[in-house]
Amino acid sequence: MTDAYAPEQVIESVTSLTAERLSHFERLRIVTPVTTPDGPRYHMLDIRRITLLCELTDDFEVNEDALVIIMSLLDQLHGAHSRLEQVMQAIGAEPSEIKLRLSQRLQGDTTAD
Amino acid sequence: MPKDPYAALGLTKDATADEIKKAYRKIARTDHPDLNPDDPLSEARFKDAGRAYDLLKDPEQRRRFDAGEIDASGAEKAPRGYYRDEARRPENPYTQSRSGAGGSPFNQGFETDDFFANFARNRGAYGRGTPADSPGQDMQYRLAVPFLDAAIGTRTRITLPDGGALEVSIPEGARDGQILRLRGKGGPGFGAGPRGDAFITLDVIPSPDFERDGDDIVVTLPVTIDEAILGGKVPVRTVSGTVSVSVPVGASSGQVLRLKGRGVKGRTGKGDQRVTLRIVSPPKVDQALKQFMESWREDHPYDPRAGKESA
Repeated sequence: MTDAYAPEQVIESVTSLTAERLSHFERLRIVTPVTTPDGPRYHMLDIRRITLLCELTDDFEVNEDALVIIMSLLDQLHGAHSRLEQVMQAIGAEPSEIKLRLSQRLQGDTTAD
Repeated sequence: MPKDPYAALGLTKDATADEIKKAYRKIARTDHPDLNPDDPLSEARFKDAGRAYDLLKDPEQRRRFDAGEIDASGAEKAPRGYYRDEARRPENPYTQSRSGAGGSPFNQGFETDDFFANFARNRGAYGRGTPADSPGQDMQYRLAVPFLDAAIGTRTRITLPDGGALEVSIPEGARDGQILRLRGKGGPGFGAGPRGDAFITLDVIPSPDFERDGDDIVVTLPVTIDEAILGGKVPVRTVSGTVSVSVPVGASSGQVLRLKGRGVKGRTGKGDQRVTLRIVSPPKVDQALKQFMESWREDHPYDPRAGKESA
């Protein structure tokens, strides 16, 4: 992780973000900056997440409770996707008879044993 | 060619400001790329609507567009990125399954029951019923750790949003993205339930001097021409201090020397430090060196490119 932005840079780059709003997101624990000796730092991932949070708040008028739930669901979705991807890669590295058996199983073929 | 902004919102020129806002909100709600991670077309619809809304929400801009003073792309911005582009990366700290050491269910021993329990596990307090006595919420933190601190281990602290502090000990050989679990350092329990845990995702700050490859440390060591030719002891930095490395007689650039046990601690003991030599010419080639090389070359030609295709 090499890209690291200070809070001022984040506020500067996300139009509708203010210092109050940023610390509000952090109190809600939907944004977690990286603790560094120079103070909190944010990565591009955080900036895009914050942009989404601002849009959800401004454009959709999502309230605070709903915002926390949306982010929790979204994180679970992305997390599940990423783990599924890892499973697929792991399966992809297996010999072809195992891949074949798995794909038969996934298609509901119970004779695959 | 940008679309007609009214068409992008499904409206006509006589739409009111309120209708424009409503139409945009409706499209944004159904087509926001972050809410439709698997629909590639959602981004196009969302972008078109966003561009149209940016143009039409301002009465003055709308007037100028209607009057033909600016075209529909008048306010086009640099392409923006979406959260979803970053969110799928396995190292996304917000999506880590909080399952203890290593952070990933795949890093642990493969216990089938645990594996699938972790795999399907929800995070945090949501989605669980909350019986009267239940454990407190788990708290997530991210901590930047300088390369050397991660390699040799250290103690540090995190300042919490409420002003408190959390003592964290960074284990020797900590990896980028590793998650530490501090039991009982999360939110207070409900009723008689225990406190939740704190999960700390480590963010190892790269070092200009060292690189890590598994449990090995990789460095480049510049040596002088005479050191390369004559060999000898040369000081080299390791994560645990400076040591002497023996440069063999007649060393070449790219040659790798291995310092056993000078790497970082991993699951299978300590790694090594691999030192890649790089021969550096003197800053100034003086007359003596030049004359010596010229006369040496006369009687000692050699071809390091032998067997390779010559340019």
